[in-house]
Amino acid sequence: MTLLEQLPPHQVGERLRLARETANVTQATAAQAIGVARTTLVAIEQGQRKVRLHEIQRLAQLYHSSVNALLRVEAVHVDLLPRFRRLTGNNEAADQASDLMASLAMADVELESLLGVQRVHNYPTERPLLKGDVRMQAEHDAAELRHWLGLGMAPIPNLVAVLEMELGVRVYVRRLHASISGLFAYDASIGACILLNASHPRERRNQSAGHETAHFIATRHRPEVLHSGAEENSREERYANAFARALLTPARAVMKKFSDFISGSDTLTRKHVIVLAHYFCVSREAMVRRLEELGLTKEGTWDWFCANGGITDEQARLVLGDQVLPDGAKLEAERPTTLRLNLLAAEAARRGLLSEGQLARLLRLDRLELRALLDAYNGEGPEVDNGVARPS
Amino acid sequence: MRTTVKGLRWTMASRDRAELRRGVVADASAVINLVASGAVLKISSVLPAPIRVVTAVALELESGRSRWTTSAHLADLAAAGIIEIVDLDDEALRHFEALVIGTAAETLDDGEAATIAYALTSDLEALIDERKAWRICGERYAALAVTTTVELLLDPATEAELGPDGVVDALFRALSCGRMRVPPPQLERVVRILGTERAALCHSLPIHARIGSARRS
Repeated sequence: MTLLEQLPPHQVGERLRLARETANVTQATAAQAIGVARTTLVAIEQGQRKVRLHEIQRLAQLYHSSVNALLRVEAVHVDLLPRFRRLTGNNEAADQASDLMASLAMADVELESLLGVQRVHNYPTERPLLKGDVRMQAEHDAAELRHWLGLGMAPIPNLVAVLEMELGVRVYVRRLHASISGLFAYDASIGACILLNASHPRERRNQSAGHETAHFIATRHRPEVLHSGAEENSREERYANAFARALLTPARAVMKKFSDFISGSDTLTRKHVIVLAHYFCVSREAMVRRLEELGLTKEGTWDWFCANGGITDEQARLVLGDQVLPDGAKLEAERPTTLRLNLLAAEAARRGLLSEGQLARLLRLDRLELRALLDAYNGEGPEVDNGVARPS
Repeated sequence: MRTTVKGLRWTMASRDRAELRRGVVADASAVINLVASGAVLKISSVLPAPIRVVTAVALELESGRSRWTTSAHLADLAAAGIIEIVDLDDEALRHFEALVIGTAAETLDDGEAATIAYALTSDLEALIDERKAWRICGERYAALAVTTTVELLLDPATEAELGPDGVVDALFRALSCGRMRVPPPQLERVVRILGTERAALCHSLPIHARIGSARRS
């Protein structure tokens, strides 16, 4: 019996099905590629018929994968992309984003497994949506999460760090199509994952992170793509937007700061909005709309600003001066993979756990890109290379 | 002369040259370096037959063709008779299977595995510039001759074709443009041939080789 024949056919079939669906290849096309009837391909994917070596070679090629990537023991296989595709139809931007998130998460998990890295997570209890006003539920759940995290009323300038460090959620910030703000997905093998658009300003990304956190809290098992400017056409979306507002701009904190900043003035000026938005690390529009929602300014205030020239970045720079810091996440997103993946990959290469070909495929890098990455991490100057032994 | 490093039997440049006349089957890691060296045509001319490249490697290189080389594409090399794309027979497929199925640490990606499988069933040397593949060959296939791009470049027949300066230039280009990996036994010699200034510019050389050579000078 060959090695391939010794593998559990159901496991091989399931991996082939996931790879086919991720590559968006129909059963008919796959069957035709290996010269079998569609029913035979179905039987292979269901583990009722063992796949032959020449067949899996051809299928791996068709699915832009390799036999090794499909069959090696530690490889992680999840169906994030097909799940998103079912939700969004054949939306190319959503496809690319969910494919990117899946590839980053799968590489993370496989490298962690190979290196013996135990990822600790501390997920809060899920709070499914109940009947009644979802906005009230969102306010309550956001306050509960703040309390659980011990944040009090403090602003959250870097929600990504909170999600990663306190909850153990996998968060990636990469450049996406402008129409995508963020994605959330949950899978038993990879845990909770969030992908945010690095092309968006930091404040908007913070809000997107809040929005995706809401999906993590309330609809953990129902991933959903957030489209920029999408209407609140579902209870989940209304909940998520309200949750993000309540999490990042808690009512009492906003009222307190509004009182602090506005004192002595009888009008809400651009300067006030800029300072408040900066304090809470949200967009200027989100800040004004929150003030409207809390009755701290008249409804239609944001529309008034828009009709009168808006509030520009230049005005914000004048008000905030050198308090506007460079956006590190944007710079990191220029790199072909994330800093953490780079470190894990370099360590796997250093230990000889994965070959150049395996790593290039896992990280979806060109060989030369991979070599540059490994040289940077494993071959830089002595001050980077040298270290002290960790206590055992 | 042959030396053993961590289980791998290295074929050194001073060996019996009749062995190299057997020809090579090259992995993607080596094809990239050969092309980056700018001397692939002259190197291939000292080999008895076109450089064999298995289909899995060809497919990988083709899919990344916009970036894997700055000067040549696989199809151009094949058209010029420098390389020949080959498929695995049934016997080679059995070796291939053993090299791609298993734990991550003990397997290779398809191109690397197919290159070794082809070499095992032919009278060719496996031309690979990849550390894990070297280890697996050394541990599992003691009889298999594995060579590297560095070894080809340092071969007296190649030097006769390129001239001493041509060898230095080709080495430098393979290292600086292709970020070529150099097996430990050949590091010292490569740095000596390049000179400390040029070696310091080659970031694929281990730091101790680059810095060490600069300090010694």
